[in-house]
Amino acid sequence: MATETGSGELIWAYLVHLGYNMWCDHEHNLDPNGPSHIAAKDYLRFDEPLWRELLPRMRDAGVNMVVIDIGEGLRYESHPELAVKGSWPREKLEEELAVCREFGLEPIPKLNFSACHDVWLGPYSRMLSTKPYYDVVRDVITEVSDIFKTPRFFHLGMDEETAEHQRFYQYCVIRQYDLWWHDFTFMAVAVEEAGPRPWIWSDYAWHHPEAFFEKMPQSVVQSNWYYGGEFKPDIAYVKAYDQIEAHGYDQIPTGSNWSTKDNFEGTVRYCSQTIPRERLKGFLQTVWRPTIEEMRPKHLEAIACIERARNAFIEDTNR
Amino acid sequence: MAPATARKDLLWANLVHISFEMWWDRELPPGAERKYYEARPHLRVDDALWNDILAGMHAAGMNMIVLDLGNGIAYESHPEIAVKNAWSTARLRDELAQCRELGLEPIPKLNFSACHDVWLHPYDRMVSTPAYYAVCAELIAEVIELFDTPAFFHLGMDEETAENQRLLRYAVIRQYDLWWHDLNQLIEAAQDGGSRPWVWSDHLWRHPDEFFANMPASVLQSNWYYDDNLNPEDPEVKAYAQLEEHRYDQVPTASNFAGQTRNLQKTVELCTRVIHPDRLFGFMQTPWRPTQEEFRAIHMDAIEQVARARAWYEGTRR
Repeated sequence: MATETGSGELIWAYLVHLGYNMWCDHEHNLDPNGPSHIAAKDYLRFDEPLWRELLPRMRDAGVNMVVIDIGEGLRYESHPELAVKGSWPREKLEEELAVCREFGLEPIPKLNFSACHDVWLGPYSRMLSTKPYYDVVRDVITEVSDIFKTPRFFHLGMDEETAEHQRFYQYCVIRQYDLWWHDFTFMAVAVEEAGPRPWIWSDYAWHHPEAFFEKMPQSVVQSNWYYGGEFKPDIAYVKAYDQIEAHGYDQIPTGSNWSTKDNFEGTVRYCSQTIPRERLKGFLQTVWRPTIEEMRPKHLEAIACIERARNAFIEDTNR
Repeated sequence: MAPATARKDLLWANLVHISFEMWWDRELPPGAERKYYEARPHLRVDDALWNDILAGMHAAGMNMIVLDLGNGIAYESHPEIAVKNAWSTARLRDELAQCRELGLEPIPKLNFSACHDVWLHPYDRMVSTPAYYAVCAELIAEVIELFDTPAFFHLGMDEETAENQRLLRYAVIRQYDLWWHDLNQLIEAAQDGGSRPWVWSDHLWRHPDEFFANMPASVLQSNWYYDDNLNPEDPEVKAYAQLEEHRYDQVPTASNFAGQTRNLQKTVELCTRVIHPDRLFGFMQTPWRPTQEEFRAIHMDAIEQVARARAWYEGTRR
């Protein structure tokens, strides 16, 4: 497709959340010190005027890919029971994907199947690793791949599946040992059968490096992530970029303005120096805020960070 | 029917496992410590040992046997969960009759803790869903009928933490009000069938405020502490006094599972001091081994320890 970034062109991606039921399984955040906006809601949180504003901003900043975390934001025809009030019908999502392409933004789907981030899966988030669960996983992957017209990549999430990350949930689930790998492999195969290339967060490598490098297929695109301001190889999360490179994986390093505005530029600088171009597929910026008006400044700041980092990268490359 | 043990008599109970699919949901490597905790697809009850345990308990003056049934019974409501060679319901009824003949009041236990519910497979991966709630209620109802409406129904509910599930492939922890919601469903099911609910009390160790705010006084409590030296400063030991302070009925629980020789005796000594006789229903011994010949010695030692502790207790009454 004309709007796709060519396989040789560096990806400059931005993660946008259509659904947002991914961090809390209660209508109130049970963490007394945590943000209220992560609470699970039975209605869609997505302000279209802001979305409409972000698309040209992304284009102008040099972004060429938008990763859409769909969650409960789509009224899946295969599983309408996952929808909340206001979930987009298939036609609406298809229209919006067309708009993305018109702005030169390659749309890539993300469905996070980590047990830590699957509140959007409704009743199935309490029956992981069962036949009904596997059926739903395959069905929604197939449906979404079709809606996105067989995208290049399909982000499966799979981050932070630990008890610590679910300590404020009512229902904590952790797949351990071979079961995590069994389920991840099931998802990856479902994606590959639908046509896209699987893409995941890489933080499982932080906790289980030996199993990760023994079992993770090279075909899976890796997004390690680190949101701090300091970049040194003795920081474990930074070192993971080097470890993943040492094992020959394709990477899309991920930054954020979650903690500091300087992170994305630091991520681009560090990773462009340590990961050879043939395995550095690009970069992903994340704001981790819902796409709602009150979060407008953080979104605009995140996109501005991409522009700054990209310009510095181009300047360095041309020097 | 009237329970064999009127509450004027102290309970001297032993926990015996008909099923042992309650710990690891995967095969452990050869040579792993306590490999017997791994799930296996067949029943692990040796008849000769079972019969000798009953006879030994009778001889030791014990009056209650708590049977952890798990998937060791081919339930008529849910035959899909049974292991190979699980007892039929007719066999279970026959064995319960034998228990009663020996003066042992049989009490059922089904552990619904997400840490100990491998026996519920496949429903152990559907905790807190409508299908799960239905299965729990149906099993409780069937077991109550099989036991002819027992005085108590032990629901387990211990150790539902990530740490206790670190070796499981599939770990589930119900937290905040969901744990209580599910416990209340189980309590209601037991009470609807006519039995008094009974639980392990260790949720108290981790959540004392919510425990005392939410735990109904109608639920019989079994706090447990398994070291030979009962340090009164240990939170797990203090729990006996805390439960008494809040006026719960108790069956303190001891064990010889790791070679302890004095744990039950010490538990009896402590708890007869700190728990009012009206609320001290008795004591339970727990060897925590499959009912198999290779573990005969620990089963028999558990019973001998009850005999000694009981003799000591009776001596203090004279």
